[in-house]
Amino acid sequence: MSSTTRSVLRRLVAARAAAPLPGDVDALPLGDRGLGFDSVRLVELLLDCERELGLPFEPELLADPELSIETLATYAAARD
Amino acid sequence: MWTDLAWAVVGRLLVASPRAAFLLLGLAWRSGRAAEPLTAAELHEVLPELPPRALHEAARRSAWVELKLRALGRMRSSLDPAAFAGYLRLRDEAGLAARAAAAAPTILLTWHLGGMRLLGPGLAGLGLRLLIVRSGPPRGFDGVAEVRTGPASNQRAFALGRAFAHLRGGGSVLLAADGGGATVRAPCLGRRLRLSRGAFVLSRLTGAPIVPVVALAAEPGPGIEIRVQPPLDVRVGSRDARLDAALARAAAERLEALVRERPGELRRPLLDRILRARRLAPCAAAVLQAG
Repeated sequence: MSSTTRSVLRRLVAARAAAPLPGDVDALPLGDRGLGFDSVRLVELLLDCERELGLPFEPELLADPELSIETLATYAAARD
Repeated sequence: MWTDLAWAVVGRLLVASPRAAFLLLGLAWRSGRAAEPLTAAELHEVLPELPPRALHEAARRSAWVELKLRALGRMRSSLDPAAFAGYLRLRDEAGLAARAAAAAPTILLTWHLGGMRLLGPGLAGLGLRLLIVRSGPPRGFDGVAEVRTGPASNQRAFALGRAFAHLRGGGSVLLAADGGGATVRAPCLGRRLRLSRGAFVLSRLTGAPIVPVVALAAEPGPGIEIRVQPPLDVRVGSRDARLDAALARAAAERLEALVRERPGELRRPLLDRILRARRLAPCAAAVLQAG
């Protein structure tokens, strides 16, 4: 489940990213400190996660400046 | 020039006799002793077609707006909310009260015009389940939730996410179109004005209408007019960034009409944003306005 979730998350992030993702993207923050997603892309990504993975939309997740594929995967695992 | 002593006197009068206090403020304003926050030269840059006399009058009005808002700010901290609400006159052209009664989610879009900070108390009485997105610290209005945004993407995303969740739960959200964060450009006053995308994105994601709302302060006397305009009416086949752009254009048109009607209501953050915006070539302006 975890590896499937991660691959879906990578696909969703890649679809929203402005440039090709680096190889070791999982731990990279999605926002200012990493991939540079702006607020709109971060919200839309969380909605993608809700639609494709059934993750409830939690705005508090977005407050984390270190939000990454890794932390989203951890959130998903905690919901299982 | 207004001194701290003068404001101490006015501050006492505002509680004991608001009418007398506003009479005093009005006299000070009419005597030309109140500093004008906007200059006629700056306003000429925004509205070059206005004659000098109208520009000077708008600059004078901006001084009155400044005085009035400062006085009302003091009154708000000393009066109970019901008494203070008497100074706020609602002009509801959008049927907002009915929307509130039906718990229909609504995006209230405002600008740094007039008494923006009085919109919270002005709208609280409508029974809206309101969330205000603001860049400063919370102001603590009864029955109104607030979320603070900031310069970092995670701060902005959290505020946008809270606003989205609030709308999805049937609430309404108030936010400024001339704040920071992700932006979209739209023609306004002969320039390409940068607008915050938040309201437009929220409308696209939730389907909630965007209702422009402003607190106008330039009229004589202590009253503030809370003007709730009809919702933006945009017809675009797609639900992507093109919809954001179309909504931004419609919002910018409303802003332009307001600035032309009440130039003295412009506040410094919005004026500076307009002055920083790149001018459109005359033919481009015509095409964009038509499109």
